[in-house]
Amino acid sequence: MSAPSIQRPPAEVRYQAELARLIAQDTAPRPPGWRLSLQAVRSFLCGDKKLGIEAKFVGNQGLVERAMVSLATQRGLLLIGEPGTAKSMLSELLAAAISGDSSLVIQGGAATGEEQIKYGWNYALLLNEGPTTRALVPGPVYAGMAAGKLVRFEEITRCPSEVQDALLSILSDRVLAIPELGDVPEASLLARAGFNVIATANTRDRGVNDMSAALKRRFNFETVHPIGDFATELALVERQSAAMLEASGVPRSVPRDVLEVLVTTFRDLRGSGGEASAMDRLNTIMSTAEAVSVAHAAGIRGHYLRGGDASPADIVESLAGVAVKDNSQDLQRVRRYLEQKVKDRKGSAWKALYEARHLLDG
Amino acid sequence: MVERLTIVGVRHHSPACARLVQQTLARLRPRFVLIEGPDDFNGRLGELTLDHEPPIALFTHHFREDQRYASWAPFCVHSPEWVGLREGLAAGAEVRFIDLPGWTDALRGLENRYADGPARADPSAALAEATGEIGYDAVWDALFELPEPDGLAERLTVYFDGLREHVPAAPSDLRREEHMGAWIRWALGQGGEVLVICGGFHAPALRALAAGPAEASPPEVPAPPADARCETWLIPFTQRRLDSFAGYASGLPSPAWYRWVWDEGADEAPRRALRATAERLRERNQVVSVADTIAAWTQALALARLRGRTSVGRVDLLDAVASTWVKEALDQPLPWSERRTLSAATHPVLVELVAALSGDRRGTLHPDTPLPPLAHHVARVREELDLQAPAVGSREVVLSTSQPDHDPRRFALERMLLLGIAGIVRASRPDALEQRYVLGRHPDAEVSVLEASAYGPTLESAATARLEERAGEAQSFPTLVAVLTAALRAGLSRLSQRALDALEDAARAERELGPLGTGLSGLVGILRHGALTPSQRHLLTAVADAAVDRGLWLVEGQTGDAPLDLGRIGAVVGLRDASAQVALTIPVDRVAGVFTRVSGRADAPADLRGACLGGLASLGTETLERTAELALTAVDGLPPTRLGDYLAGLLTVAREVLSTDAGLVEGIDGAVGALDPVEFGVALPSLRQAFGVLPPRERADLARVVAALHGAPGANLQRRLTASPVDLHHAATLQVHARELLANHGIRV
Repeated sequence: MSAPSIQRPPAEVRYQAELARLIAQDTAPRPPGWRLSLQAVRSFLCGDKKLGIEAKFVGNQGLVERAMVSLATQRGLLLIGEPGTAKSMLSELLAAAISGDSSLVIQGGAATGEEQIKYGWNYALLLNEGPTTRALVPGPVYAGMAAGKLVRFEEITRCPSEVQDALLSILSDRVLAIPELGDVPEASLLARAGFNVIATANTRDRGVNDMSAALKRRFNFETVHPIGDFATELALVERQSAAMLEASGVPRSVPRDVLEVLVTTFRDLRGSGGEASAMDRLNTIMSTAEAVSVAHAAGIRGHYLRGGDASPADIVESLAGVAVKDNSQDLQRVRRYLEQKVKDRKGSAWKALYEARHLLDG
Repeated sequence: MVERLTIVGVRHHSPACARLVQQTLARLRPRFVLIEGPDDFNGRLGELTLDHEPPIALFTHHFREDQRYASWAPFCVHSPEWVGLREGLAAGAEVRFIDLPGWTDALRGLENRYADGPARADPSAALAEATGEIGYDAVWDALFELPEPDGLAERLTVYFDGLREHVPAAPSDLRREEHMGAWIRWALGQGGEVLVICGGFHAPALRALAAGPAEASPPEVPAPPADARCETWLIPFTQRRLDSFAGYASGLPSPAWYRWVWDEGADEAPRRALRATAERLRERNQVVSVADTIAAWTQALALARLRGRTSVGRVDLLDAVASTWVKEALDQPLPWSERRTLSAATHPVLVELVAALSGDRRGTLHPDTPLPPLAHHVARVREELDLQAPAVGSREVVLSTSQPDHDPRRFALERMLLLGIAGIVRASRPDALEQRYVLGRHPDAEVSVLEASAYGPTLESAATARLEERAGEAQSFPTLVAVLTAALRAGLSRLSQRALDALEDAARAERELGPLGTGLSGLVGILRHGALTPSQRHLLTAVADAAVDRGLWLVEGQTGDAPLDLGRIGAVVGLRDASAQVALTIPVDRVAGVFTRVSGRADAPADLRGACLGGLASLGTETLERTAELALTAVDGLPPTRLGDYLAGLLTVAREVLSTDAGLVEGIDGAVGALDPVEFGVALPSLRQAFGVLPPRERADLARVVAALHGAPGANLQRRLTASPVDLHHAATLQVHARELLANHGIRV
């Protein structure tokens, strides 16, 4: 591990030991420019009991396989899905395992420009020397192409589409033209093997509809779904909220029945629940990550405000405050959910959740 | 003795298992080939050896009093049973079916003899983890279809022995195995090599049962009860019906894929599949470029290699096409990641992909095959019921529907219509009291009967199967209810669980109040008037429960000022009727609770508020007087232009509130009187709608009350029309034309 002062070391540092072990035993053929074979990358992400490697991506293995294969071919990979479905984590882990470096990141936004993607200039040197390779400041794509590494493009659909289209020739011809350099060989940078792009996009804000057809064609799309299985999701929320509570100095975890109510409520409101969930989904994001943070908040309230365990009332409170902020329609849906669906459910935790419904108005 | 016995436990329809059977036959040259299949068909095995083009199926039908059961045993060219039968007979072996007939209790409820039972289609978690595959079909492919065939027999034995240890056998399995075991012991007693081809799940048990003392004679083929009629026939089948993505108790997914594997080899199948998918998409005007095809193929090869295979597997190809051709977020996980039928929200590219691998091959029977029973049945029914087409021209048959329960002629005609038998046309509206049918000669009449015979041997069973298929295709709740109504119209009371499940899912998924109300009302009608068995009633009540649940959810979600919507009001009527007339598990209190909340909410649409208040009155939650008072208060608070909407809702659901003394009529009169001319113009259409609900007599009574309010008591408001009947007829005709014209332009009035 790196120095303790780092708040969140990148994946290749956090899992240094595991990656080293995988590299040491990896005998399968590796695609050009990859530090690991596809099989080893799969073990890294999905876990391998024999090698003592824990699973890091809870989801299906088919998705991981399709994603890796896309990266090994000539198309980019676009991970798309609801917010909070661990798309960025998947992209970080893939980059860490394949290139040993997850730091080549472009954060997409309305103000992202081409220079943040390809290259910029050191203006002092530029004025002094003119456009030379010394004056050039490589952006993540330049660096990834030069070194043969994966480049991560977060939230690509938030960029203006003309900026997105800067990737077109890079993805198809695998060459970056730097016309400023003039008639020298360095004026076109040919990508080294191992270079590719992992983009992520969110189905909630501007979807992929604004993406040009030409760019869509250069990406393979993989949809990352919320966790399908109740027990898996419950276990994940339980584990992560316990860890977060511990880090916040709360010596107790959220009681099991409260967690069950929480996870069921989230699944119902997200529309991935069981039979009783014939409802419309909320506009608010009801992701697993959000459930974890609600559990965390509920645990903190219980401990620091009352000196006790988290209760279903804390969940309602958090739902009103965090989850359905600013959206009266959603607030109304949650109210309807409590009135119509929760009322008749058995169990004291459900009863308590129903009893706390007035907190929604607070 | 047992060393002369070889049992090949197979998965039905598996090409790998069929090859194993082929090799085993060639190696052993057995005297006996015993196959899991209905042993009452043994006398007619010759029919199976004709030159048919599979898929075809053995169809067994069983009537006893009012009970009817049907079961299929479908064969495709790569069915191990088919290969064993045909090649065994060709090699001169004595071939027998050794399982119980399809009509016996042991097979009851098993519609497809060769389907994977649900428990058997669930691989242990350990296997799924070890292979890294998701779902039974993918695990099966990875373990048996894709690897080199060396050692396949041993692997199958290990697998099925393990399966048998984990999955408990049902009593019916044990009875069938007992019967098959007796056949094996008899054959062993006759001397010579014995080859048994059976479902892998039975293989371990049969191995044990074979060890008993030899039987002197084959087990007696059970005779059906004296009062029952059982028939088994060969019928043509379709690849679509074989496919588990289509959902009809099927044995394997993507039959076209396995057919390609069988015909052209594992290397060629993925190429054929990719080509077929691209062609299907292009036929539907979707762009599939050469670059897309290259990308999909590269992806498929790479996935196959990653997954340690020498050739591209079915899931590799499906995954590859999904990765490279779908350019949007998917609403659901890929359909092959679990074993289920395609849902309505499946991405169109995936729908075509699955369909391409399903195939549209239809089986054909050799001309010498005895005509399918449906052909005889149709001819006989038409003769007996005098429903034949005349030699020249056509004739009309007019039947009244006033005796809903028993009219064999109407049922027969309705069933033939459902089956698309050419030469029969309905000439009246389907819900008219008097049904008119036109019967005539049609060049396709015979072919259409042959095609329909794939659905079953009698009009009743075939029409039922056809309707089930339609139910599988229909997506929305009201269309499914319409299918159900059609079933009852044709006297088809046997509704399968699957169709009802689809209905329940559709009710839950309905997003619009209008269609939900239409469906719910139809359903209430069926529950009130339809001839249903107790279990059907129970199941349909569960559907009504789901629909009411969904409806309440939607009703409470309606907000904002919106113009009159009759669908919305209809939904409240449906909810009220369901709650009042059907024994739901949803308590009336919950319905009333929603009605109370919505009727009092100022931000709900006016028509809905009125309708919900009416609902409270007719459910008896509020007295009529109280309702009228509440309505009066609400009318005061409404924007004038919404007055009519509110009343339309209220009066449609509970027009009896007008009869109270609470001053509602006066209140409404006052409110209408206060409208300025512009407001009145806006409110008029829905006011007409509101009072149009009243039958003429009540309307006249109301008019008298209003007239009295305006100082004209005892006014005679009835007057004879002065127009001549001819003029009236002319006017009516004009009106019809006008409506048609409007309808042609997409305007409905």
